[in-house]
Amino acid sequence: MISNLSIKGFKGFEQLDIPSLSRITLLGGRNNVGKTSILEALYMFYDRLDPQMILRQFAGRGVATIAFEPESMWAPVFYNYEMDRKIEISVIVNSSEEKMTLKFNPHYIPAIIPAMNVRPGFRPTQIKTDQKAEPSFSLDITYDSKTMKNQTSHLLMGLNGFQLQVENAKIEGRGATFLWARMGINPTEDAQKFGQLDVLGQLEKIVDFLKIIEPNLKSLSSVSLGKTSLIHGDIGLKRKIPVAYMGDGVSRLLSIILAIATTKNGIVMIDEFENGIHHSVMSKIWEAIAKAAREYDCQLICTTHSYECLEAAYEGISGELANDFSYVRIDRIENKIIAKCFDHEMLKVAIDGNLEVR
Amino acid sequence: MPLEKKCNKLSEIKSNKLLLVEGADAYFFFIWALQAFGVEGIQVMDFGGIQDLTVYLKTLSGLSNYENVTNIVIARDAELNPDSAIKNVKNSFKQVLLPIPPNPFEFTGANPRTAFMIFPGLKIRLYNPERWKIYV
Repeated sequence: MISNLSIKGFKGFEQLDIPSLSRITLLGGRNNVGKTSILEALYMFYDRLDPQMILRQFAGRGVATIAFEPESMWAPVFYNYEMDRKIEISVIVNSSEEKMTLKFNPHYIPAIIPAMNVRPGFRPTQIKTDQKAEPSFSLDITYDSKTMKNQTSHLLMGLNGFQLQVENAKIEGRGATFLWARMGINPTEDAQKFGQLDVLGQLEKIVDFLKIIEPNLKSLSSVSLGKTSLIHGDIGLKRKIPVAYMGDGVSRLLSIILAIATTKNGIVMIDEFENGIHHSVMSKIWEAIAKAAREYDCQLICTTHSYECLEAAYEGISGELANDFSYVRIDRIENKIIAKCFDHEMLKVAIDGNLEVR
Repeated sequence: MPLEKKCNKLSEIKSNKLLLVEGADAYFFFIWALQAFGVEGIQVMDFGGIQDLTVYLKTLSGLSNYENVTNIVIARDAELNPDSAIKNVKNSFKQVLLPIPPNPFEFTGANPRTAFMIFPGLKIRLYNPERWKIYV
């Protein structure tokens, strides 16, 4: 589990340290202090071997089109758009540091030249007598941990689009899932996760979880519709209906519980947790999520603007679960972003005293 | 239950001078007393019960605008044992790494300056609220 997170040179963070992450951490704070950017930084850390690691951030923020050039695509993830700075993201996992560094390299020369693909019947108009590697724009990515030293990869931007050249890296077992606030639910992705759990005979847990918000739900099943699948539910009508028809709250909760159950030993990030969920069931949902997070050994980091959501998390994640929860308020002080951490005891005082901690 | 909870109103730090008091009675007393004597610029906050003081101070430091607070004064009852009350308040300051005033009604430290008042026991000063301007 990640206990500490440090972000340097990423988006609005010159340097941000969050020294106390729990199994479930709720991030609060005013608009534009960087709550979502924290999730993006952490997700990028885990997504570092995916050529879309930067692109996803634009999609998640609702940016539909963007110029294919470093200034437009990469500069926004650097502090102050300054690509001559480095981005450093480090986490402490089980007392051991893992660190990722991103550095813009405008003159990267690939060490290996891939052979050209020639389609059948294609006749090249020019034949070169020799071939040398052309410099490309690159984001040089290095990763260090206790067990894996100096992993290196290069995210290239060139004529063939994005490419990831990996010199020395291997995929870790720990995974991450990001549920964006703006992007809609991906029913196909959910259906795939649903299938994984069906195979393991764990659908009953998912149904029980959704009953918090839809008490009439009896069962769930994945229905194939051509190239895609949709999860349908039986709520006592003449036929099963797609979960999406049961409302945004049910769909959202289904995505959340599927993410937790299929990200074992990993981390799930949820932007604006409260979206689509009525406050009256919020504390029960938090309690169920806290239990599921323990069961699947999954860590959750969520953002919220809602005092009701914070209050419900405090109430729902209590008793023996209390130590699994913390709240971090992100604040801007003289253009510097800082994190202020609240444990369960401090939250009690804040909530009892109606202190504004968002 | 703290007053803000009863009023269902979220409390924010709005002044750089904070007077933290124990319970709703003290909260009202100080608000009216400050108003009656024309003392302005002091925000009164109810820290609940004395057992919550340390955590309240920790929590306070996590609120927005705390970095602008210049003065923190704690007012509490002596109850049966003024010495013990003084010791407890000092201990709370110590635990949250705030400056520890040596005696009641004396400011110490900087950013923020801190002081505490124990009632009853210092009647001369208690009945001379004009001096609060100096202290707070």
